[in-house]
Amino acid sequence: MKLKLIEAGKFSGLKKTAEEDLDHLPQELQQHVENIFSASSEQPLKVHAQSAYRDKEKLFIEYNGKALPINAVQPSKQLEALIEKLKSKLHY
Amino acid sequence: MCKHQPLSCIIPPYMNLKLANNEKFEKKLLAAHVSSFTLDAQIRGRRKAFTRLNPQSKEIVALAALKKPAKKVAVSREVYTAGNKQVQPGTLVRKEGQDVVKDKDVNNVYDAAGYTWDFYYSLFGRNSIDNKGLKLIQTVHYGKKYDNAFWDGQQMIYGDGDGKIFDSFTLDVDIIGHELTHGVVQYETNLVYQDQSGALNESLADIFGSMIKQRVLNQDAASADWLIGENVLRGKQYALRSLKAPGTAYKNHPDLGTDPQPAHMSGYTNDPFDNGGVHLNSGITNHAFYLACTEVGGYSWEKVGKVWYAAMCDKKGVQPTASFLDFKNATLTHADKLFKSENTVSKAIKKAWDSVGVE
Ligand SMILES: [Zn+2]
Repeated sequence: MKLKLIEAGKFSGLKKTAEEDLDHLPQELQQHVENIFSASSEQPLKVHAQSAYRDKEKLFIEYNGKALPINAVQPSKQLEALIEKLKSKLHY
Repeated sequence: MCKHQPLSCIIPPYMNLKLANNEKFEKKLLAAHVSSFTLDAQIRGRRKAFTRLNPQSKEIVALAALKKPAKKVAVSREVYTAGNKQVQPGTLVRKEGQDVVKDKDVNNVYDAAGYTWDFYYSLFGRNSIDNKGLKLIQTVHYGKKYDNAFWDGQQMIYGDGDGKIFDSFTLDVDIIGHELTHGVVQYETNLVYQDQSGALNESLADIFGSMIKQRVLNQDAASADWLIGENVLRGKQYALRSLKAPGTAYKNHPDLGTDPQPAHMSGYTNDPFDNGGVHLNSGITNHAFYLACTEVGGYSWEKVGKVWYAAMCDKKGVQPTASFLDFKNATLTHADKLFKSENTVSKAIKKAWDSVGVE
């Protein structure tokens, strides 16, 4: 299963993405991602509407057809490292 | 040579004293006479005259003395550099009244903020973002190859672009006008940045950004290109958005594909990654504004722009969660108020909204 990082909401309205296949990554990391996404609430993507920022990019992670704002998850060190890796690979 | 009101010059001081003590005078008139009495008293050195006033007049003289002189309304700008770090505001490079500096990006945003301030002040009497003279703070060179510009609730921030797809976000006046207008909306209707109200927020930023550019270039609705970000997105044939023809700002771009903005409600898209598609669905209301302006003719800010400004500041008629239809109704109300004798403006605005499917 793939984990996708999505950068969206910028002035241009354009999205950047990067993804990584979790299958060949440690089982511990795969389980951590599974747990995060199975415990998430119903409409998590609206959390940004309260912010005073306009046109500032927002980051999301998507897994198994479900997406979460990155600041709504508490990543393990392994996931944090993976997200950093994906950030450097973001492209239109 | 007498520098104060001519009437005060020809009335002898003793008459002013008599008038100032006349309780039958209306308060306004009395204040005027007290004022001229004060001036005469100062000029002629009759400081003891104050003691001869009745208590009411004494109070007015005392209050007039305490009153601060009217503050001069003027733009106040500060431009900082983040030095390619993600810091803000960063290091101050140019502030109000200072000469141009070597850094072109600094000068670009300094000038564009000036054009924006002047647009709002000379056309609508608005003194800056908050209408109370808020200092316009801007930071350039934010981050490394940062391909974005944003408003953080207090200031504007601009990146240099990646140099491949995007150039510096300081190159287009409409982008600076866009970000500043997010500030204006924040202090007025404060449209919630989600779904239709969020798309309206984006649309107002584009519309006023476009009008500011048109005014700088002295273009009327027919001759303007109605493009947003045509210098920021590299390649002569590309821009980021088009109010004239949403969905055509860039076509078959090697990295970006084709502009996805709809021009009609039939293309309304709910994009959960962009607060319900605020940067997409703004195309619909942007196009309504364009259609109304070209139907009315002349400069966009003269008639339809005035109506949009009134609606943008109408906190009663346009609630923070306003829909496109709510905003349409507010523009029709204000068009009737502002151009009662010219119902062509109202008719053009109604026709424009109907054309984009906001009915
Ligand atoms: Zn915006």
